[in-house]
Amino acid sequence: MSPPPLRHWPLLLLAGVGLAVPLVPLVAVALMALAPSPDWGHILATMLAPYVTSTVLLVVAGSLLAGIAGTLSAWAVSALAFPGRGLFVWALALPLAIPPYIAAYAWGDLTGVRGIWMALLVYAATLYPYVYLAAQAAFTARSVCALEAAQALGAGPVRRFATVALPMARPAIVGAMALVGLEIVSDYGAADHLGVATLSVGVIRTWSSLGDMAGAARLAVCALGVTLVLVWLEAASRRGAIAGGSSRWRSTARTPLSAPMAVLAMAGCSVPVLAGLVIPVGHLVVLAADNGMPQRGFGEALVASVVLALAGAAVTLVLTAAILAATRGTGRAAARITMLAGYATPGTVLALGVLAATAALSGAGGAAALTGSAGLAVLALAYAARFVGAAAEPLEAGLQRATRSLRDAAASLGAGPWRRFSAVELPVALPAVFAAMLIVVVEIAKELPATMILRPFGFDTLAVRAHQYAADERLGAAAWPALTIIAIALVPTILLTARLAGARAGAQGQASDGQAAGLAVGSS
Amino acid sequence: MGGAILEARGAVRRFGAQAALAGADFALAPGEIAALIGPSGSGKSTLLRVMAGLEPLDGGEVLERGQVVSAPGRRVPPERRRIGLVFQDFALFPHLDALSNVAFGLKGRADARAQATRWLGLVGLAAKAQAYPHQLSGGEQQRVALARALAPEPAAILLDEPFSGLDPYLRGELQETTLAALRTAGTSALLVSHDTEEALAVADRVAVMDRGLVAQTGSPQDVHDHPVSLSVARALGPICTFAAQAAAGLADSPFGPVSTGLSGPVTLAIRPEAIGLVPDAGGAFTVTDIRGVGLHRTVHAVGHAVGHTEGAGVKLVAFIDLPLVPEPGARVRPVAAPGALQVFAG
Repeated sequence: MSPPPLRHWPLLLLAGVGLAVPLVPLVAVALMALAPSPDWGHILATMLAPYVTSTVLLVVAGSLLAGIAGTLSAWAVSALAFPGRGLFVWALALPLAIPPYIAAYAWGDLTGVRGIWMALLVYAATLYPYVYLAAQAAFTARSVCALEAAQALGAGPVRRFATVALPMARPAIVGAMALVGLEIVSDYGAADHLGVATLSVGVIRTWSSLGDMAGAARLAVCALGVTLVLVWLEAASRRGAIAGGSSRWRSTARTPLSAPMAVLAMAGCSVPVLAGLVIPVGHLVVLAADNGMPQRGFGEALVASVVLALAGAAVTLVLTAAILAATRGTGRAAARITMLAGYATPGTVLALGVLAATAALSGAGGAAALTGSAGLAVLALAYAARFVGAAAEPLEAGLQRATRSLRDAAASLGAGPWRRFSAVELPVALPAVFAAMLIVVVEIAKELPATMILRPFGFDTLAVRAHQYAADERLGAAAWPALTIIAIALVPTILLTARLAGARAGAQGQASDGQAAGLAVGSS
Repeated sequence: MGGAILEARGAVRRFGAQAALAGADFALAPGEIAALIGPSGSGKSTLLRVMAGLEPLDGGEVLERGQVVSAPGRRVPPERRRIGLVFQDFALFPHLDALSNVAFGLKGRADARAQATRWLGLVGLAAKAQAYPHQLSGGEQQRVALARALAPEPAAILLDEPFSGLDPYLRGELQETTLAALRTAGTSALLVSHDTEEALAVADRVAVMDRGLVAQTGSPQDVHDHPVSLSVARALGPICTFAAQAAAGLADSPFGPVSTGLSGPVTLAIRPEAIGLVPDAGGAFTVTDIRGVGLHRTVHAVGHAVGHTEGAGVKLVAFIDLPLVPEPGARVRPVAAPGALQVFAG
C-alpha cells in the first residue's frame, strides 16, 4: 500500500524534464544518423571494422578477465583463511576509485607500452571490483547454508567452489561482468590515451577531426548497439538470480591453508590490488613529486570540478526525487527503463546527442560553443541524463524507509505536514540522500568525455586538465589532478567497503550488490 | 449510543469497485476496551483507519465526542484529533531513541521528557530510554509504541494487530502489560485482531465484521453463545456445520431431531467442544482419526447410513477430554451439550 503519487504540476514538470533528459540526446543522435554524412564512405571502408572489432574484443576479453580476477579473489577472501585476509577484503574493492583513463596514464608512462593489450590490462585492473563486490556478496550471504550442507556431505573447498558457490553466484557475476562491459564501451579516456581506436574514440574523432556530425552519430548508433546487448545480458542475469538463502550476513568457517598455499593466496590477491591501485597510484605519486608543485591552473581546475559536481549533483538529485515522487507502479517501471537508458549511454554518445539537440533547438548549425550559464545548465542536464539512474537506487531505498505507517504514526501524535517532513521523513531518508549525493558528485568529478566536449569556456575540470596534460605527454603535470580525482573517489569507496565489513559483522545486512555497483557507475 | 468517544455511522469506503466498508456502524464507549474481529478482508483495518482519520470516507460519518470529524469530502486530519495509534509494525522512528519516540507527541510541553520517562516506566522500560528501536526486542518495541501512543493522553487509542508478529510466549505477557497500561490510563481502546481467542480474552466488548459491515456487537460471551449468523459464528472459531431440511419446526441431525422453529433448508452448527462421543456399537459414526497431545484431543468421526439417513458421509470434529476419548475405529453416538446446537436459515 504505497501512497498515491503526488500530482502537483511543478513536480510533474520536473519529473517530465528528468525523464526527457536521458531520451532527448538518444533521439537527437538517431535523427542525426539519418542525415547525409560526407565522410561515411571513407569511414565505412577503412574505419568501421577496426572500431567495432577493437570495441567488441575489449568488451569480451576485458569483462572475462575482470570476471576471473573478481570471482577468484572474492572466493579466496570469503572461503579461505590466510594472513592478511582481513586487509584484502577491503583493499580488493579500492581500485573502484581509479578511473580507467588515470590508470592508463600511469601504466602507459611506466611501461612505455600502449595498444590494445595495455588497454585490456587497464580495464581488467580497474573494473574487476564490480565483479569482486557482487561475487563476494553472493558467496557470503546467499549460499552459506548450501555451502555448509556441501561441507557436511564431504565436499572439499575446491569442489564446493565449483559445484555450489559458483553456480549459485553465477547470475550476480554475469550481471557484474555486463556492467564491466558497459564501462568499457563507455570509456573514452583510456582508449584514446593508449591509441586504441574504439567506437567511443571514433565518435569523437569523426566529430572533432572530420567535423562530420552525421558520421559520428552513425558510429554512436553502433556503440549503442553493443550497449543494448550488454543491458539485455544484465537484465537477463537478474531474472536468473537465485532468491532466498539467508538474508543475514553470516560468516562461514574458512578453510585454513598450509604455508605454501597461503603464500599463493596472498600473492593471488595482491595482483589485482597492485595492478589496479598500488602501482598506478605509486607511479603517479612519484611523477607528482618529481614535478614539484601542481601546475598553475590547478586551483581553478579544482574549483571548476567542485562547482560542476555540486551543480550537476543538485540538478540530478532534484530531478530524481521528482521522478520518484511522481511515479508509481507501471509509471515507475517505465521511468526505471528511461533512467537505465541514460546510465547505459556512453558519455561520448551522450555528448554528441546533447550537441545535436542544442544545435537543433538553437537553430545554429554545427557545434556552436555553449557559453556562460546556458552552457553550465546544459552540462548539468547532461550529467543528470547520465546519473539519475545512479541516484535513483539509493534515493528510492531511503524513501522506502520513511514508510506510510511512520507518517501515520507522526500524524496521530499531532505532527502536521511540515513536522512530519522535517522531524520524521527527512531525517529517516537523509543518509540515503547523502549517499546518492556522494555517488553523483564522485561520478561527475571522474567523468571525462561529456565534460570535455560540453564544458563552458573556462571550466577546465581536473579530469579535463589531466587528459590534456597526458595527451601532451606531460605526465608529471597530469599526476596532480589525477591524484586529486582519486582522493575524491576514495571517500565513497572506503565508506562502502566499511559498510560491507560492518554488515558482515551481523547487525544489518542492507548493503546490496546493486548499491555496491551503483557507487562506481560510469567511470568513463 | 450517547456519549461515545468515537463513533462510525454508516461508514462506506471503496477501493475501486470494491467496498471495503459498506455502511459499518460502531461506537466506542468511554473507558471500554473493544475489539474488531472478522475474517481477513472483512474491513476491520479499514474501519480502524477510517476512525483514526487516516483514510477518507466515501459515505457515512465519523464522530469524536459527538462532533463530525470525517464525512465524504471532508476530514479533520489525524494530527488535529486526539486519537492514539499502535501499528502492526510498531512504526517507531528509527532515528530517535526510545525516550524521544515517546516524547514525540508531547512537543511543546515543558515536562515532555519527564512525562515520557514516566510512561516508559509504566510499560517497564525505564532502563531502555536511551536505546534506539533496532536495539530493542520485538516485545520492547511494542511497549515503546504503546507508551508513545498513550503519552499525549488521547481520547481513545486504536491498535492494529498489536500482538501479531511476536513470539507466542511473549504475547500473553504483553497482553497483560498492555491491558494494565490501558486501564491505568483510563483510555478507551479499540483493537483489531485476526486472533479471535486473543480478542475474546482481552476485550470488554467485541464487534464482528463481515463483508464491510459490523454484523454483531456484544460481550465476548454473548457473541460467542448467540451469534446472529453463520458467518459470525464462523468468525468466532472452529465450528461444525450440517445441512438439513426442516419440516413442521423439526429437523433431523446427527444428534437426533432438533427443534428449529422454522421450515425449509437450514444449517445446524455446533462448536467442537460442545460435542460428546458416547461409545455405542449401534452408533451412526465411526472414529477415523485422533490428533493432538495433552488433555484435549481432536477427534474426527464420519457418519454412515444407520438410523438417520442424513448422517451418511457427514464429517464431525469434536474436542474431547482425554479420559473420554474413544478408540480409533470405534462406533460412537454423538451427543450435543444442551442448547449448543445453533440453527440458521439457509
